[in-house]
Amino acid sequence: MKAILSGQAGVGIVVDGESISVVRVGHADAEPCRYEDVLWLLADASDISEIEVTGVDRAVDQLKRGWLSDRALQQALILLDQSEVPDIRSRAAMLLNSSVNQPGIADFVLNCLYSLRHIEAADFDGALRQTDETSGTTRRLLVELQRNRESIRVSREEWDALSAQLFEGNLEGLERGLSGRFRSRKRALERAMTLAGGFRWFARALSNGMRPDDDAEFLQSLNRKELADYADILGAVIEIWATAAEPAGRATVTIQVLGRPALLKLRDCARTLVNSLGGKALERGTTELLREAVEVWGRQGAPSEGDLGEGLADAVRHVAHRWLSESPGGQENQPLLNIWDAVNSLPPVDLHRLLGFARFRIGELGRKALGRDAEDLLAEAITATASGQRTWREGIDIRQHLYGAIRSISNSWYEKKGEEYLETDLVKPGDLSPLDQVSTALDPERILQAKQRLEQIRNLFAKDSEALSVVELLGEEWKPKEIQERLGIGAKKFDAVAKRIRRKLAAQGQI
Amino acid sequence: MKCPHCSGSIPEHSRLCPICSRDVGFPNVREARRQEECAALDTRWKEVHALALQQGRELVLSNFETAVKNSNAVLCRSLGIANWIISSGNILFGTFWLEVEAGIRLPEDNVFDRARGAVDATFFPFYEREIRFAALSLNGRGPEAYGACSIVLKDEVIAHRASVCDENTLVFCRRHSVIVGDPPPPGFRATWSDRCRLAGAKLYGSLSEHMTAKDFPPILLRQARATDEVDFIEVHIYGSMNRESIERMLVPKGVLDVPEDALLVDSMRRKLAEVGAGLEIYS
Repeated sequence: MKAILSGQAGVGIVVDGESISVVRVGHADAEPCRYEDVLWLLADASDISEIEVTGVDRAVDQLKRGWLSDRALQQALILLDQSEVPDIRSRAAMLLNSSVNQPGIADFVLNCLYSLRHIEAADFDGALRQTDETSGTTRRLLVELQRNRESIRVSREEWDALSAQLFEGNLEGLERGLSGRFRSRKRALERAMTLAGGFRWFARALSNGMRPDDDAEFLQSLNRKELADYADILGAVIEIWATAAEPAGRATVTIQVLGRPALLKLRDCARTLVNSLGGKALERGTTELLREAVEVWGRQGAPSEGDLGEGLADAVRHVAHRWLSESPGGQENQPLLNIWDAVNSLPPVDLHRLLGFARFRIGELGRKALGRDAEDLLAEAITATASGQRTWREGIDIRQHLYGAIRSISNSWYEKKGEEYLETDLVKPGDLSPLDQVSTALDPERILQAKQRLEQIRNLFAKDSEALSVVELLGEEWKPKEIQERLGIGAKKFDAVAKRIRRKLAAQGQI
Repeated sequence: MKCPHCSGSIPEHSRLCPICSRDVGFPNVREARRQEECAALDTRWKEVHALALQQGRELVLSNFETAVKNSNAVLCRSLGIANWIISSGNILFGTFWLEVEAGIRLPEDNVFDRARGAVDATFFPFYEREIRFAALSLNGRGPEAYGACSIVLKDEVIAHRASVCDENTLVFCRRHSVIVGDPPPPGFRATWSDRCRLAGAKLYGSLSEHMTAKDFPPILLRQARATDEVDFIEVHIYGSMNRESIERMLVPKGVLDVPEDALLVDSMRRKLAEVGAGLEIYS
């Protein structure tokens, strides 16, 4: 004799050879029924199971147990539902408290709640407020679930993400034309896994920092009879599930969907933070920062795909801050990291505008830019700010600050005030400082300008050999008397030639 | 059948024309509109009206049919299932197939599937998974032998995709000795708008001369504690339904005596209110 039971429906079908009857919760006797009624009786039930029974009494007992279990689960869900009215939640807590003290019920409820979708929406604090000191088992159950809620969420999400193809196993069923049953095999295994406590031990292993398929209790739960029919696929399913759910694997898998621009931006973000940390990074580089950030991000629970880049950038900043705070005297540089945070947080459109402004300023500089381009100017503005050479005042928008820095730095380039660095930063022990060198330093721009100007003047006097000779000798810093002697001309003649030169230069705007 | 737009041939189970991809209607409704079906039903209906005229019961038959024009499609589920159905908008309900398949260790070659398969091959070839089943009711109470909670569906969300059959299709196939693969005898199906004609044709024999509107509900749907004594006109609805398809629910007062069930009823009232539906308790 076999019984097909649903605690949710409170109905059981007892099949004994060709005879079929229905048993119901609250009714001791079985009633005759037709095969045609079975699907109506079990429609929409999601907890159907089939067991061998020795008699109708046994079927009724099992049915009642299933019904109590289902009601306890529904009471727990009502208790955790924030949108439920307090009075109903309170009654649910009372009923649940008496249910969970019966053998097997607490385990059933826990096993089911560990596989719950959207556990993050469950109101554990509110549920605990509905319980009192007499609700020992219920409170323990709630506290355990609350403590493991993040692992429950991860377990559930990664289970849902498993491909349905994984569950197909061998294809005999398809060949028999049972494709519909095959499509729901994932769902059937999920139910079996729930009842066997698979979700519960999987999430617990994650909470303990273990890879679930290395956890003895989880592996033990897989030996339960409920899972016996899935031996052909269980190993592969568990391995992929566990790999996807462990923090590093979860993060790595998720990062693979990031586009190249987002990855490059992330790397640049990490590099600038490492640069700004300098020695306080303790010889750790961009790679180490990124690797650690991915792990942190994975442990926190990777967000949805739309937030990938931003979530990882936050993790990178978080790790950089931690490195800084852990370094000796690290807190002193905190404001500088904050500046990098602000700059790294700028949306692309703002950076584009800043670059446009830098391009405009470089255009204004012309040759005085000395080959530096707009990106150099923007980088200089950011670096000078992050290094503390340009003060970012509190309350000023970082964009406005950078516009000002670009303007100021480009002005100083135009005025040849020199680079925006501290002189002492550039001096090695024993070397001359820039100020020491200034009187003798060769200014390549001045040399170039002088050469160009001399060439123009030569061209101007190409047809006046006397004037040209005077100009050449003046250019070589000869004195008037020396020129007169060299050219064999008197003072009057020299004055006349000099006057011609001045007039022509004045006419050409050269003086 | 030919597509009314491109004149291409349309398979019986298709909703879209395979040639022009235009919507050609719900296959169950198309079947009920077939000329052969309509003509056979018309014959049955005329016969009972002629008989009613002869027997002086034309008025009560007309009153009955008028009442059935306002009948609803109702499903019956246990409280536990009803509460689950309305707990989320993501839960689709009404099908016989999917959940049974998801049940663990259910034998693949069980007698329920065999029976179901024969009916599907007869009534819903290749689109059986799209069909949801309900019963026609005048007072909102469905066949309670299948579950204490009656779920009344909104007329406006099913009228265009529903058809009706004389009785439970499984029972119908057995009673009429339908052979798998053969079409069911015509005249026992109707569109939603013609459900009153089908009801009149089927149930005229149960009407007596002095019956009034309050007497009609148990005629249209015969309640019984034993499932094999229940009788109703079966409604076939194409496509999915969720909690927003529900107009109201009815539960018997007796369930409130069980604290676990009373809790569910109060929770269900709140959940139904979220989707603008009501919950009624009846004695």
